[in-house]
Amino acid sequence: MSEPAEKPSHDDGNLSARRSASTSAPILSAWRLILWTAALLGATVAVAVACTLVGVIGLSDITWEIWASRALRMLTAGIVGAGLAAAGLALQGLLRNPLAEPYILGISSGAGVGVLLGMAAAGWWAAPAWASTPVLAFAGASASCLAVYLVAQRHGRVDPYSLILSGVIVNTFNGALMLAGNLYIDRHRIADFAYWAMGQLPDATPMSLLGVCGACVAVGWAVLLANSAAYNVLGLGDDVAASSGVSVHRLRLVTFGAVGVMTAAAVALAGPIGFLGLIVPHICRMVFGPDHRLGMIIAPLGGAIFLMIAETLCRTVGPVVGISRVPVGIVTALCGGPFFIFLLRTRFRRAGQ
Amino acid sequence: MTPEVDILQATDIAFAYRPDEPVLRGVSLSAAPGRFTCLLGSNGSGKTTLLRCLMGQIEPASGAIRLDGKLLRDYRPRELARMLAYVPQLPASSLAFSAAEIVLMGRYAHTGPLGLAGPGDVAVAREAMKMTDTLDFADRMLDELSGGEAQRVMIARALAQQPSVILLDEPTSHLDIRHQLNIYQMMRRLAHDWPMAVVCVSHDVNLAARIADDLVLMRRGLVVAAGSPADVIRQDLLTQTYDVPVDLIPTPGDDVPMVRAK
Amino acid sequence: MLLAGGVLLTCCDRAGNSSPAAAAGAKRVVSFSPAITQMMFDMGLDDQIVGVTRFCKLPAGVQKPRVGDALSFNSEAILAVRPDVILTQTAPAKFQGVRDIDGHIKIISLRIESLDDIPAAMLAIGKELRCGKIARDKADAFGQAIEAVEYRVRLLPRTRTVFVMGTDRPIVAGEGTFVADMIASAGGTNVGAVIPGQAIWRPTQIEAIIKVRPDVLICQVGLGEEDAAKDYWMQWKDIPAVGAGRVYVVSDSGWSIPGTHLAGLLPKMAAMIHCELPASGPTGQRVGESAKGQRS
Repeated sequence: MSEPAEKPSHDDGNLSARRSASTSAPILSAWRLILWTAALLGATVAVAVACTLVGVIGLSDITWEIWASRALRMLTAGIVGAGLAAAGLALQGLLRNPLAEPYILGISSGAGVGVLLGMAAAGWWAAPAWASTPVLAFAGASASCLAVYLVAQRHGRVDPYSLILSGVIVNTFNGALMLAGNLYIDRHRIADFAYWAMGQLPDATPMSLLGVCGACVAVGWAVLLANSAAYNVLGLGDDVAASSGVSVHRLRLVTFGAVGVMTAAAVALAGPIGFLGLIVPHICRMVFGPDHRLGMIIAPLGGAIFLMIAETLCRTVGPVVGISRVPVGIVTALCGGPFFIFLLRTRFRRAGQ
Repeated sequence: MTPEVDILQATDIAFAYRPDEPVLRGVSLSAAPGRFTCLLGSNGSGKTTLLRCLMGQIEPASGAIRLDGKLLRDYRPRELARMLAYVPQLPASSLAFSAAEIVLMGRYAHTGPLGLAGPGDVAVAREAMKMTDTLDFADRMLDELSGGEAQRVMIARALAQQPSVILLDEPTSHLDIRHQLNIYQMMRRLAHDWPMAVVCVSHDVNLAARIADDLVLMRRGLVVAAGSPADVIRQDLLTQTYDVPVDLIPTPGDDVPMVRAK
Repeated sequence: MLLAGGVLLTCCDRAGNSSPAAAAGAKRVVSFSPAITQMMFDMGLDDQIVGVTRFCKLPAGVQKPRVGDALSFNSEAILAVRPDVILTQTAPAKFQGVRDIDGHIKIISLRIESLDDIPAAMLAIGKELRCGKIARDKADAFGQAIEAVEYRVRLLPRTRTVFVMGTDRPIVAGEGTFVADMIASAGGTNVGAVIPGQAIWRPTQIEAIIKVRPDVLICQVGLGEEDAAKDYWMQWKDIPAVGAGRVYVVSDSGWSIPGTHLAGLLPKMAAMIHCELPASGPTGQRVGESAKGQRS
C-alpha cells in the first residue's frame, strides 16, 4: 500500500477522479442532497424487495416465513454493505489514500483472531451461550482496532502515516496469531473457520445481534455524515484545513472510532467481506464526484445495493452451477481484481492524454 | 505600529523541534490591519516556523501570541478560522473540485452542519473571487488552472473566511515573474482595501522590498531588523541576514535599491 | 560388549511404552488418525500403539505418547517412538521424510469415508499386524450390527432424512459420506444427496434444505450449543421435520467421525428416523415433541 502523499502532487489519482458530467458542476445545495437521498433510498428499497422475490424456492412455493427470512437477510446485507462502504469512504477521505479501506485498521484480522481463539478454546472450555461467533468477532475486531490506535498514537493524537503503518503491523501480528491458532483447533472446526473467513451472510441472524450491529452502523454513519464537509476541506491539506476551522486531530480520532465500530459490527454480522469498502467509494467518486457530503449518502446506499444483489446472486446462481452456497465474500473478492485493473488502465489513459 | 492597532502580536517566541536545536530564539512581531508585512531571511532562519506558530499549528515553547488581544491557544478552531486564514506554498493536491467549490470551502467555519452554502456564503465567495480576479474560472477544475491562477483561487478561499489576518508561506516561489508581481500587488491591495493584516514569508527580497509596507529580516531564529523597506534595505543588515556580501544597486524610479549578492 | 549392548538397549527404550507385549516382537504402530486409533482399541490392539495424534480420543486413564497431527507434523517425534508401522488416512507421501531416515517403517494409508470403508480398514490393519482373526471377527461384528438394523427396518417406509452440521451456516452430509450410508442402512432416504454441491460434505443454505423437504432432521453442533440450535430450527416451520417435531440435536462428536462406534450410533439413528422402534428410545434432544410422537 502506498504511503499517503503529504506533499501535494499533481499525479494523485485518488481524488482526481473525473466526474462523468461536464466540468461545470453546480454547487451542492440542500435540495440536491435531499433529492439524491430520496432517490437512493427508493432504489435501495426497490432492490431489496426485488431480491426477496428471488431464491432457491420458487415464487409459487414461497411462504411468509421464507419471504420474511429473505427480507431480514436483505436488511442484514444492507447494514453490512452500508457500514463497509461508509467506513471505506471516510478512511479514504481522512487518509487521502485511494487504497485505504476499513480492514487496514486491523479489524478483519482482529475479528478472525477472536473467532479462532473461541474455536480453539471450545475444545476445553464450554463457551457460554453469549460467546457466539459474532460476539467473538466483534470483541476481537474492537480489541485489534484499539491496539492499532495505541501503537499509532503520540500524545493521544494520530497521523495518517503512523495509522497505516500501525495497521500493517497489527494485521501481520494477527495473521501470525491466526496461523498459530490453526494448530490448536480440532481439525473439524478448521473448515468452519475457513468458511467464516470467506465472508458470508448466515441464513438467519438473531434479532438482538441485528439490532446492536444495526445501531452501531447507524450511529457511525451519522457521525461520519456530520463530518463529511470536514473531509472535503481536509483534501486541501492538513494545515489549510486546520486554519479553515477543522480540528484535524479530533476528526481523526472521531473517524477512527466510528469506522472501527461500524466495521466491527459488519464483520460480526457477516465475517470479513472484502473489497466492498474499497470499490464502492471509488465508484461513487467516479460517478458523483469527490464531494464527501454527497458521497456519504450515496456510497453507503450504493454499498447496501451492491451487497444485496451480490448475496442474491450467490444464493440463486450457485445451485445452478452446482454449488449450494457461494460465500458472498468470494464474489466481492473476484470483483476486486478486475476493478483494480480498470483503475490502473484509467490512470494510464489519463496520464497518456 | 501602535499596540492598540496591532491585531496580531507575537512576543518573544522561542521554539525548538529538537531539544538542543532551537529554531526560534525569542522573536517578536506585530502586524496591523492595512499593512502588508514580509518575512525575509535565509533558509533555516526560522521564518516558516514562525509562521506556523502564528497560525497556531505549533505551540511555542515560550512567549505569547495574541490575536485581537486574546491568546492564540485560547481560540477554538472555528473561532480562530474566522479571524485568521492561511495560504500554503503550493495549491492543494489535485482535487476534482471546481474553483468555486474550493473557495466555498473557506466558509467552513461559518456554515452549519454539512457545510452547505447559503446565499450569504455564496455572496462572500463571489466577492472574494472578484477581488482576486478568479471569477472567470469559477466552474473550472483546480488542476486545469495554471499555477498562478490556482494560487489566486487559494487566496480567494482564504478571503472567504473573512479573516482579519492572512498568513502566506512563500506563495509565489514556483511562479513566473509576471504572476509573482501580480500576487504581491494583490496582497498589498487586499491589505489596504479590505483592510487586513497580511503577513507573507517571502523568498524574493527585491519583490518584497518593492511592494511590502513592512519588512522583517530574520537570521538564525532572531529578528535582525524590522521596519519599512527604506529603513531595512541596508547593506550591513542584508549581509548579516543572508550571510553573504551584498551590493545595493540604485534603481531609478524606485525609492528602494535592488539587492544583489556579490 | 554384551553389557554395553544391554545399556544401549535400555537407554534407547525411552519411548514410554510400558507394556510387555511390545517387547515380544509385535509391531510398534503409530496411529495418525483418531478413527484408526479407535479401531485399534476396539480390536484390543492398544498394546501395540506407541504413538497417537493430539486429537485421538483415548479411553479414560490410558496414556499414549502424542506425536503430532496433520498440521503439526514432527518427524522426530514420530521417530522417537521407533514405530514399525504408521497407519494414516492421509497420503503416504507425507511421511516420506520419516521413511528416508528409517527405511524399514511401513506406511499404510487407509481410506475411511464410507461405511464400508470401516470394516475394510479393520481387515487391512489385521492383515498388517498379523491378527487377521481378530480383525475378521470385529469386522464381521460391525457388519452384523449394521445388518441387524437394516433387517429391522426393511419393511418400514423410507423416511426423507437429512444430516446437518451447524445451524446458520449449515453443512450437509451428501452422497459418499458414511453418514449417508448410515441413513440408508437405518431405513431413510438421504435427501442431502439432492442438495447441490461438489464436496461430499457440502455447505448449503436454508432454502435448499427447505426445498428438499426432509421429514427428519438430525443436527450436530458443539457441546453447549444444543439449546441455541433447538431454538434456531424451530423458526423454520416450512421444514416438514420441524412441523412434525422430528428435529434431533446431537452434540456427540462421534456422529461425524468414522469408526466402529458407528455401529452403536446406528440404532439410535434408526430410532430417530422411524420413531416407533421400541429399542433404545431416541437420544439426543428432540425438538417440539408432537402429541402423537409418530412420524407424519
